Amino acid sequence: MRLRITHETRYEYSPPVEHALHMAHLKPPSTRYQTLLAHGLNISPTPTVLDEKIDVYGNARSFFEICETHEALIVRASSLVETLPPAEIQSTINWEGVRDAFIYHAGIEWHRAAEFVFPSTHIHPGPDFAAYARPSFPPGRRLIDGARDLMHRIHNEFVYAANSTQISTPAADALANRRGVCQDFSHVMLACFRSLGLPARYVSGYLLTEPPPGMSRLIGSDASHAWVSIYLPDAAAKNGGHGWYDLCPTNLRDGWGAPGDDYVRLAVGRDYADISPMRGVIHGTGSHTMRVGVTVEPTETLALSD
Amino acid sequence: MPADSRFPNAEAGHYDELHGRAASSNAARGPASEASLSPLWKEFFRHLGEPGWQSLNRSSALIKRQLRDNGVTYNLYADDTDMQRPWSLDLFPFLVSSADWKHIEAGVLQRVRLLNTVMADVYGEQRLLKDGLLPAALVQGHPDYLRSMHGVSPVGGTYLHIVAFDLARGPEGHWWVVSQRTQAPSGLGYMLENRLAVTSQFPRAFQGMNVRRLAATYRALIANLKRQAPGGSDSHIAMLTPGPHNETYFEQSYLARYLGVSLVEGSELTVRNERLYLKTMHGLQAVHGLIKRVDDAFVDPLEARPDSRLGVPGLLQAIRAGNVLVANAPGAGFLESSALLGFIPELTRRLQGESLKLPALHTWWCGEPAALQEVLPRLGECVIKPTYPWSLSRGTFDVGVGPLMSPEVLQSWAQAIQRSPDEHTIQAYLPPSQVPTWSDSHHAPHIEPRSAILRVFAVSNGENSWQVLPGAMTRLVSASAGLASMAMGGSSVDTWVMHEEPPGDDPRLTTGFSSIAAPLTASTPTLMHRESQITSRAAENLFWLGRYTERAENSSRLARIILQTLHGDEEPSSSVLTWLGQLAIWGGLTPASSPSPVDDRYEFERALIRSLCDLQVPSVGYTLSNLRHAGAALRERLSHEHWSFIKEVEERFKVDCGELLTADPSSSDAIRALSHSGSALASITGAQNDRMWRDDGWYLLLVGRQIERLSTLATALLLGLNTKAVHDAAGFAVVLDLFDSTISFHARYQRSNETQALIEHVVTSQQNPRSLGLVTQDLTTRLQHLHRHDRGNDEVLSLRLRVVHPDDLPSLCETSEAGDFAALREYLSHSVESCSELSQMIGLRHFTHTGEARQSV
Repeated sequence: MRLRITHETRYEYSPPVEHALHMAHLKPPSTRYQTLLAHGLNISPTPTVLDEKIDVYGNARSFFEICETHEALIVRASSLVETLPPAEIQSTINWEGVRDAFIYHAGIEWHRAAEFVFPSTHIHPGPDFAAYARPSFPPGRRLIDGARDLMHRIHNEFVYAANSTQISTPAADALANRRGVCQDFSHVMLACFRSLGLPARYVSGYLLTEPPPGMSRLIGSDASHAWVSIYLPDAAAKNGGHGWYDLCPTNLRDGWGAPGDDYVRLAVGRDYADISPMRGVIHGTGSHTMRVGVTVEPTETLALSD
Repeated sequence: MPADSRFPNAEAGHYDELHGRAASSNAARGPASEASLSPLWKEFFRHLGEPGWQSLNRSSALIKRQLRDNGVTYNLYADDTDMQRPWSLDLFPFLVSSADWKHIEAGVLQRVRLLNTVMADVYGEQRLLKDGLLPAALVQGHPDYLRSMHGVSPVGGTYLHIVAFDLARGPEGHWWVVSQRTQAPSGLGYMLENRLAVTSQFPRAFQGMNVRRLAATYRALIANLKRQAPGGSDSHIAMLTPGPHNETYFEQSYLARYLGVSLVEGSELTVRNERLYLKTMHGLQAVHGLIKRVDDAFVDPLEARPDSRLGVPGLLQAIRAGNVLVANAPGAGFLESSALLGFIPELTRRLQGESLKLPALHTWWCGEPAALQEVLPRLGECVIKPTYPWSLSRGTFDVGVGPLMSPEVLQSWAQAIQRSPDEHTIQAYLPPSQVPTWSDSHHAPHIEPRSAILRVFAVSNGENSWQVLPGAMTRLVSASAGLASMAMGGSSVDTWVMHEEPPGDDPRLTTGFSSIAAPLTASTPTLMHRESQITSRAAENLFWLGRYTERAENSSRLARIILQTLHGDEEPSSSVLTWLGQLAIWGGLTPASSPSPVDDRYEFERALIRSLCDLQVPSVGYTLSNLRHAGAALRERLSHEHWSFIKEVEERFKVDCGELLTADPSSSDAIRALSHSGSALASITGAQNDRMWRDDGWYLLLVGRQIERLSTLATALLLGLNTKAVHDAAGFAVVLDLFDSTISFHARYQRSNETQALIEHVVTSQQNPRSLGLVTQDLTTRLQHLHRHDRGNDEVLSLRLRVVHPDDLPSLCETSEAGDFAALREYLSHSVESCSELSQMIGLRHFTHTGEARQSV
């Protein structure tokens, strides 16, 4: 499927800002299931410095600096991505086997996934998460089955409530209240996995949504999306390291490397804090507002804009 | 006291430094005597001699006084300067033989090389993780592992420039590594201060015993940082401090001065175009190297903790771009984990092909099941330490000492360890060797053996090359704790490392100890090129120090004059009362809501007295407290007396005012308090005129003072003319008193009360230091000096001022259609306006960056 994504972030400042530094994670990677055909990052006002580097997780990360006084900052990322439906996966490893593979002993076999077992900014594993996860992981169950079960439970037991939470809402609150948005569902699920010693990472990206019947697609009406990935060492061993299996508790979709061809991956990290689309420090005393508009649409063209 | 009982044995189980005796020979030890002392201590006491021994109490007291006078402190996370605690230093040094030192030096060098290699690997190829030599839990699982540094090679190639190792001598006399500090080790400053204080008490022993000096190593460090930094040998190096509230701020400022580097807070730095700059009063100055005393998590709010106020946004990007050297490279915090010690022997074999020269205490990281099984039954003989210094998800815990635990407590520890094994590290318990310390009790002063841990520093002196500072910051610990921390109430001792060779004729080795603490720059003129930078923050504080000094003086004077006039023998007219009421409100001496003296003199007076020390009203007490704050922020630039004056005037006034807050305050008591603060403020002015370095910062201080003076006096006179109070005898006297001109005026004009004479004296006179003409002239000259380097397109600020000359007197006194003294009034209001403009323009030009708040979005 060929998808065109426009992700526009607009900050307005009052009084104007004289100097600003920003970090952006807005460029989708090419993976086994998606190919980045074209990409553009337009920033207004024009930055003095714009530097793209690959971060520790393999994501493209842009640093930019604005040295002129500005009342508004507009960052528009446009991407054209070709996606493939995920392939079937064979994984029989049980969850205890995965857990034990990450307990250190001298000469332990190395997995790149090792760092996704630990606590991170928003993921604080603990007994509450372990207790919630437990029913999905009886002794000897395959990890992939347990993970799907956990995804179902979160989907069924949690209320999706837009605007009910903030970026800083702790996963513990979302668990206690059984409500949140995709980011909270993902954080809860990650904390469950890690509480059991299982590596799991946060995925940010986009999802193609169908407009209501009879309605046309509204520009900017979509949002960026988030889901999780778990690591299946047996699949990785047989497939050149490709062991990440994606699960989207919000929409109950899952698949090897992507939940589906209507999903586009933007970045991966331990949690939202590692890969927030925009992060910055401005010099100024005033207040600011931020608006984000995302449009995901199917397209036949090879151009970024019509 | 018989000489034999002077030298008590160490406690059982400890190595005895004084007698050079292992714990295992305790059983065989005889009665303590001078003959049984170790060779070094024998020599020490020989140099001391009997008279020296007899005056040990005096020496001990001198050390304490010296530390107090020098203001050596260790803050206990204080948010108030009153919470500072004096640094604690014991009299005797720790003596280390050259043979012991050789061993320590080789071991420390091997370890620092290894740690630098581990750092390079972990932020680069990660071979050690891939080969299973290091657990991911101790790298990516460590909260101080800094992902932003992945793939970054530091400018100059060295990650670790300053590394500290805590060492202890075990019961049998062997040296052991207890822990290591790689993030922002403290101690280099205290170590110098200790050396200075202790050697001044034992000059003969210090010279006679051929003790190794410290200065050359500090010099090597700073020279190397400059060499490796992008600016080359002329690099500008600064030290990044968390600020005066940090526990080791004293040593940071001491060390910064000694090394000749600027001490700056994060808010004084800025990153532009991927380069680091210091905000100074003359604009942005490039910084090429940073000695970092801020923890890594706070170093850059853009990428690390967004709530940090201590760091510099963009610093990590500047590091990645290779534009700044940071010592140590951010991200070294994970190397401090005790858990790592257990992996070092194998890493040394694999990476260096060597065996360890200096062992660490046996250490088990419980995240490894085999280690956990091995150590669980031995908890009672061990110390339990947190693997991580802090945790994202839960609090950390204090160290547990096995030998001090009951079986029940041990059991609960064992359970906690099994619940979260990764977070626990177990280390063998080591009773550190005991050194003689001096107990200066009056009745029975004596030597008391106490356990000590040495903090030894390795500093870089080239790419991948280090040297060990021949000395140590040694801390005394309670025998039970098994570890030392100043925060836990320890004390410190100086550490003398002996030269291998006996003292020769080389005068460099035998010259006096007094050179030890002279700033490095003094002995190395090549380092002195850079003119000291006045940061925007310092500039702003200097400007306000000037303004507050003058404001405090003016408002003390004004308050006193008002009170005296209300009770004077000349009954004030209603125009004078109106004027005084306006002055009181304008000067912040009474709240705007209080009644005018025309309506209720008694209530007005009460309000004025009550407000003197009310910090909600910008009266005298409020201004004195602002003065103190500005002074505190400039502590390093002010002479000791200058700072004491500032503190004393504020404290004394507070006490005096306390007595005024009775139901019926007496104006004579208030007048006395105000006169006292007035004369105390005159000493501050004296210190500012006479005892300060006359750089541009000083000029800014004077400019601040003169702007304040001009604007206050011009306003007072303008209001006096408007109310016509100046034409009244009482009003006339008030003007003279306000301008501090009573005596000089009467000397010149006898008892004249002609307004023209008054105006000549306080406006156009060229001799009166408070005449507006002279103040304006001085201000103009000072502004011109301050802006002597300005380029053509900068506005010449002094042109905003209107200068008056004696020739202008007739026109200023003219009466025109617009009314009496119209020209003078116009001149006065113009002056007041230009003062406020100037203040703003100076702010924009010299400290525009300081006020700029920053926020994460």
